[in-house]
Amino acid sequence: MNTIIQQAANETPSATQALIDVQGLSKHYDQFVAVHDLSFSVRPGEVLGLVGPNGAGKTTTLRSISGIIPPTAGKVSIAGHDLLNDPIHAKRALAFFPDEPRLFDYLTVRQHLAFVARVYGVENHEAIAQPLLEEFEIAEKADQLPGELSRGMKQKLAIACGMLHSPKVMFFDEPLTGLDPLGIRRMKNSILQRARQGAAIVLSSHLMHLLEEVCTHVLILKRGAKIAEGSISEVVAQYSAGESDVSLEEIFIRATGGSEN
Amino acid sequence: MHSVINALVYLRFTLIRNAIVTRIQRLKQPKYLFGAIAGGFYFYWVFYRQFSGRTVGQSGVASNGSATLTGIYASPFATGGALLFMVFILLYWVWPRARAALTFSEAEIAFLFPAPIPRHTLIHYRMINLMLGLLFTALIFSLFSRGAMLFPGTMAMRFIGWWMVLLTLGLHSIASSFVITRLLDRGITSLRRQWVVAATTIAVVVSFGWWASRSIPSPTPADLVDIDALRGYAVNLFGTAPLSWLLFPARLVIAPMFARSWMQFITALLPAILVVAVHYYWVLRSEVSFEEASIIKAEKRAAKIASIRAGKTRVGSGAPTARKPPFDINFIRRPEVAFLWKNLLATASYLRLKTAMIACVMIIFASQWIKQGDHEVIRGIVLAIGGVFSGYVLFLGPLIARQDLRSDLPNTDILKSYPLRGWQVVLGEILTPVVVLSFIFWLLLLAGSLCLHTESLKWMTPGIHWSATMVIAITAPLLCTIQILVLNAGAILFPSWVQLGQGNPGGIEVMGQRILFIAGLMLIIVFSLLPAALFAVLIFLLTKWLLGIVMATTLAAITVIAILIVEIVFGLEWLGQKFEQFDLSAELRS
Repeated sequence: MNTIIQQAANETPSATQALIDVQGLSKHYDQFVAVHDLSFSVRPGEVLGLVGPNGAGKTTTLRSISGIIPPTAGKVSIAGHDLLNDPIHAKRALAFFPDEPRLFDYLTVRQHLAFVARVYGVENHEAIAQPLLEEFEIAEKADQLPGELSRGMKQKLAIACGMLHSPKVMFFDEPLTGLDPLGIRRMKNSILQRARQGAAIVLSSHLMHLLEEVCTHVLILKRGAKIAEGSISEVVAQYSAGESDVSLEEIFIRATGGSEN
Repeated sequence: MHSVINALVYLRFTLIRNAIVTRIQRLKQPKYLFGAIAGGFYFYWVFYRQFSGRTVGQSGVASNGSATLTGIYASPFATGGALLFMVFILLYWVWPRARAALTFSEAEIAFLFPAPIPRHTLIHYRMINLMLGLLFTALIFSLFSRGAMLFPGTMAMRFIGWWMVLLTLGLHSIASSFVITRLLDRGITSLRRQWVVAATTIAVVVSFGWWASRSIPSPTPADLVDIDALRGYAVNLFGTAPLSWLLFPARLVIAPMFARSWMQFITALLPAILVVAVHYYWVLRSEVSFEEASIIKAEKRAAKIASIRAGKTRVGSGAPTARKPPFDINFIRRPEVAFLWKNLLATASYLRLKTAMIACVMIIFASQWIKQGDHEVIRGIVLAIGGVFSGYVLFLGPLIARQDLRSDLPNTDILKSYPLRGWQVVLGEILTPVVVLSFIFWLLLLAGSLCLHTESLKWMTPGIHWSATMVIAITAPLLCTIQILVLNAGAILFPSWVQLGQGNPGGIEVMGQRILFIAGLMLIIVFSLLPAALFAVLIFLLTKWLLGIVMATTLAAITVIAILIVEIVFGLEWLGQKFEQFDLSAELRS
């Protein structure tokens, strides 16, 4: 058994505690405020959809709470570990999936997994990697380089790499970009399966149908600030003004005022 | 028709104007302003040398003079240039080439191809673009090609001369690709064409050579006595019919570049313009489909630009191939070593431990052979080459071997999501260039050390010899590490100065940025090596009289190694912190 995963599992808070806890997160670029005083939490099994118009600060938020860029202010806790003071333990519990799969040109599919396993200290990674390769249907491409893979295959490889260390917290930035209908279906299933297994997931997307199908909660951002948060039914109730059968898309338009500004 | 031409002129004019305005506007940012100043100084220096270094009398340029072109044709450099030009022309026909494609951008294809624009107007548009683009290339070439003996004319003569040469080559490339495409359409394969062209060329050269050998006597010993005599013989050979006929078209094109006077230049320019005009007409009249291949070419070009903008500047455009792992990744269970493993996979497949071992064995055997026999000349050559190359590896190697953060910056998002300290990522990333350069240096050192003639140096006992070798072997990787750390620090602290940002990467200001950046890094490297050097000298001078030269040198060497190690440890820790704080998104915003 992988000692690091075991260690992470032992340190994981109980099911009622939030795996992701963000308090007062802000990110400024000189005078420009990308994210302003954002707070939310995600518990095991929950999938939070981060939505907002272009430039609302979704990617900046995801990058800040996954430790990729330093926030200007605020606290982020991942699986009980403070991301700023204890980034190593926090990062061991999370996986970040960018919108564009970032892969190393000269590493084959199998070599990518071997490398990631070593970085995260995953023992006997082959035993974990093979089912992942099969789940994402890239087992046959195991000895190929990223250049030989389609966009969807690359995305699958990036996700397999992220899943290898069995993260309890996952961040997806536009996870369906570039996927075909079959790939979209599989991606949704993978996200739901990980949530059922107790992972806390945050995903950003413009696709309302994805949020409706996959997310348990939604957070609407506009110009870096939170304008609505809660379970999907709560947010719908907040903006439906008593109407029934109001779609999430309509709710989004009402909440954001129908424009980026 | 008129409106189409107007639209194309408007497009070109607006693109150029906007490019200039954008360049000027970005000078508001200090990094571009300082870059522009540095680049401007560099160009001024080049121009200054152009215009102030030589007077008219020195350059031999006269306001009037003989209009005859015989003087140009008699110039050995013009003859050499004409030969080279003909080789280029021949290569266009022999080199394997895809179907004819004109260079359009993806946007041009999207807007112009479906538009009601006649085909020949598109060709005009493309060729005018080519002419404008080559103006800049010609300017650069004319700036860097100087020397009264080689190019006796003025800067303006060289500029126009180069433009004529580049234009002819560019247009000939397009025209020949059209002909080749037509041949392909008629079922003549590339291989068949290459054979026919090669066989015809050989037949022509052999027959003309045979003809010339009957009319020109073979070189006498006097013709071979020195380079001037040989040059004179060659000029005479190529200046005599029928060989001179072969070079005649090429001479027409290159003649303006070698003109000595304005009269001679104008006389030479008119035939060159005629050659360009003939090529232009040839291209325009070619009824060959270029659209499909142009689209593919544009897509490839766009992908390449996107790749470069993403920081993936790989020398050689060949697609990467899957490689055998350099070693078993489970052999050492440190994440830093995993980075070494990953980055070694991206290096040439011969840069492996196995190759180093084979080279080591070969060096040992070869040096034994050199030492045992009377091979003083070979020994000298090995020492000279080894010395030059080891200096090259040690001081230029870190600039060239970039399989570290400099090439991995686009993957920052992923690297920063790993559960590793900053110093671990930095150490892991810099390991590959350090290891590769160290192994190459060690092999060169081994060759040099084994070939060294220690018998002639009485003071160099085997103990001193091998101790010195060991000290150098230990110090070299540390020196490499310091330099690579500084270069990686540059990449992290000033990423937009190292890699291409979101803006247009060309321009004098970007060139100035590069000059400033490299100069700054070199300065920092010198400063970082200074403490070790100063302490080493101090220790040596203080202990030389007490302990003798051998012990003093040993102590100085240990001091150097200790100081370099301390610097590296602190450097890694500091750079690791900077990497943890590094925010590429903030850099790209500026």
